[in-house]
Amino acid sequence: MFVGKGDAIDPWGATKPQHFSCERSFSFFRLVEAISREAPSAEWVLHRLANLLRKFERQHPKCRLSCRLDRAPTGLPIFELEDKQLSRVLKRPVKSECLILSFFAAAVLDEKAFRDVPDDQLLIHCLVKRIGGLTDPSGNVYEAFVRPQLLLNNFLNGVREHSVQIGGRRFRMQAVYFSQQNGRSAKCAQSAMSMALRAMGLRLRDGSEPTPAEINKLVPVALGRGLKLHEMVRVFRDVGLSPLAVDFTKTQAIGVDYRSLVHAGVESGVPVLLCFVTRGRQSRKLETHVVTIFGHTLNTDTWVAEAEFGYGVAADYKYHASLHWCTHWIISDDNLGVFFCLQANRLTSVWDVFALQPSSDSCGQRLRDWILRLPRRRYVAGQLREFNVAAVVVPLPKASNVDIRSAEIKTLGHLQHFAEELRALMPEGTFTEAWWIERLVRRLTAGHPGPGPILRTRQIGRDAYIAHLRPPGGADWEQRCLQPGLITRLEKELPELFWMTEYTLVDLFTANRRKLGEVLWQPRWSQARDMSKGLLLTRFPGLLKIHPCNSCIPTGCWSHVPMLSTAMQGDQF
Amino acid sequence: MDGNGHERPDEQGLSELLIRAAAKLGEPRPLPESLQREMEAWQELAKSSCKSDLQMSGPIE
Repeated sequence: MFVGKGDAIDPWGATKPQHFSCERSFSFFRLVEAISREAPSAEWVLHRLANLLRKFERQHPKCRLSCRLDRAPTGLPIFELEDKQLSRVLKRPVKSECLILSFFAAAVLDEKAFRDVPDDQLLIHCLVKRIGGLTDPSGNVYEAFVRPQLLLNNFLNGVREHSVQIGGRRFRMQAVYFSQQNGRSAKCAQSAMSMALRAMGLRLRDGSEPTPAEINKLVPVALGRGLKLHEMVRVFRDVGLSPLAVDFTKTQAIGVDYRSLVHAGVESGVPVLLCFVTRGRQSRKLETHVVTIFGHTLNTDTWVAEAEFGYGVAADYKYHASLHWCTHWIISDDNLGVFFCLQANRLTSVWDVFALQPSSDSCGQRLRDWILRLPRRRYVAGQLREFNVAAVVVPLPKASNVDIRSAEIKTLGHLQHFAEELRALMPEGTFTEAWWIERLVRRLTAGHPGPGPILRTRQIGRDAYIAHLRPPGGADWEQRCLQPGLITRLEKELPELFWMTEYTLVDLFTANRRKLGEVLWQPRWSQARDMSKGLLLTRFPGLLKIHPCNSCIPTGCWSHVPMLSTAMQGDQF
Repeated sequence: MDGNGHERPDEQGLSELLIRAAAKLGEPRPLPESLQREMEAWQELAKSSCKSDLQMSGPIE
């Protein structure tokens, strides 16, 4: 059935599929209002989806957007478990009804066009659920699959192939999965974890899809309330992951920058759960909410990234962290919708009062040291307020160290050591064609007036690293490649997973997205007071050192090489 | 020879110098005390966070 411009929209009353053209004269507002009359919590999320569609239309003026609306049969098996849990929480029988909302980048205005439309024209597939048997209308966006083409920003993890059923036809779509809490049997943590696990293509141990209802089964005690941080850790462990979880409300978090952990997780290609403090609009009560981070945006023209270093604001260690070029995290908030950009420095730490920049003579540093020396029982809880970061969970595949910054500081120390040794052997100006080694040494010299080196850290698997080294992608600027025998040797000798800190110079990073080399670290480094513990491999222009066997191999690649990008990324980063 | 009287090595000579410079890399070197403290703080924080009772409940009212 085709619904024209003036026709009334009755999504919950229709018995047959309805088709709409969503071109300019169509009102998304009218559609969203009609749906959310019966499922009020869905309104915000649906408006967000409509917003993305309108922006997509502006970017693709020739595209003819359309929508198809189906009523799903009642008693769908996917709702069975959630309905059972809702019945237990609400203490009355619950039977959910569901609308299937599908948006196409083509004019799908009748059944014939629907049968013929190619799979890749499906932009959004969304299930809106109405919880029956309640006095007040209640419902939510049970799940949505959103194509990344609707997002105009770069670097996005979590795009997977999903199979969805619409009107008897199965579509395959490369999309990001979204889930909204129903606010009763499942809260934000179940939704955020469901989004993260689906983004990683993981199932629960019994083979079921990680829906909020299935997650509840793993932590039955949490039914009807939000999950606790330790319960979230338990669920991730149950699917075989080794999550790094940090509670930033604890006193020990004084002076610890949560962004380094978030950034390393996102760069490593895993979704990150970011928990922060909110306030109920009616109750004014403080709550903790969690969103899933799928990616970030980089602005290579960011002034702060260079100015903080240049003006001595971040003077504790002499390098630029690549994090400082990241301006936004790309998040899905189960309450508000998909692909939002959260300013990377918008959330603050409750401990910011102690001055996060650890300058040796600052009052904040002395106060922090004094607090950290207190016996544990005297640790005090911080006075939390809205938009304080509460916790970060990075669901990594293997047990790892949590202090990403120490990998960078150790890398810096390692590079400085190399520069000192080289300076003793070779005075400046004698580096022949090895311009990049000379430039690196100069930037590492104390008192150098220009920018310092940039360091970027992520966890990476051996296969991805080896693929990164292979030609043609791994060739240096002069098209020279590592010898195939050397790559094969690395394939045999490197462990399955490790941390990689890439190092480069500011202009190579911002203009070309290229680097001078990288240092590989074991996934767990010991707490021993040794800068070199955990070193696996260092690549310099012209030389590669395999540390466990103390082997130095000339490579002949004297120029810069591309920084690592992964298949899941929308852009080069 | 460059203008300052320094001898410029060829590519092979340069590789040999790099190998000599890299020979000591990986030998034990002391951590700066501030880094040691920071690493310990992270580790302690991660350990205690796994047992954290912080509860996620954020619905929109």
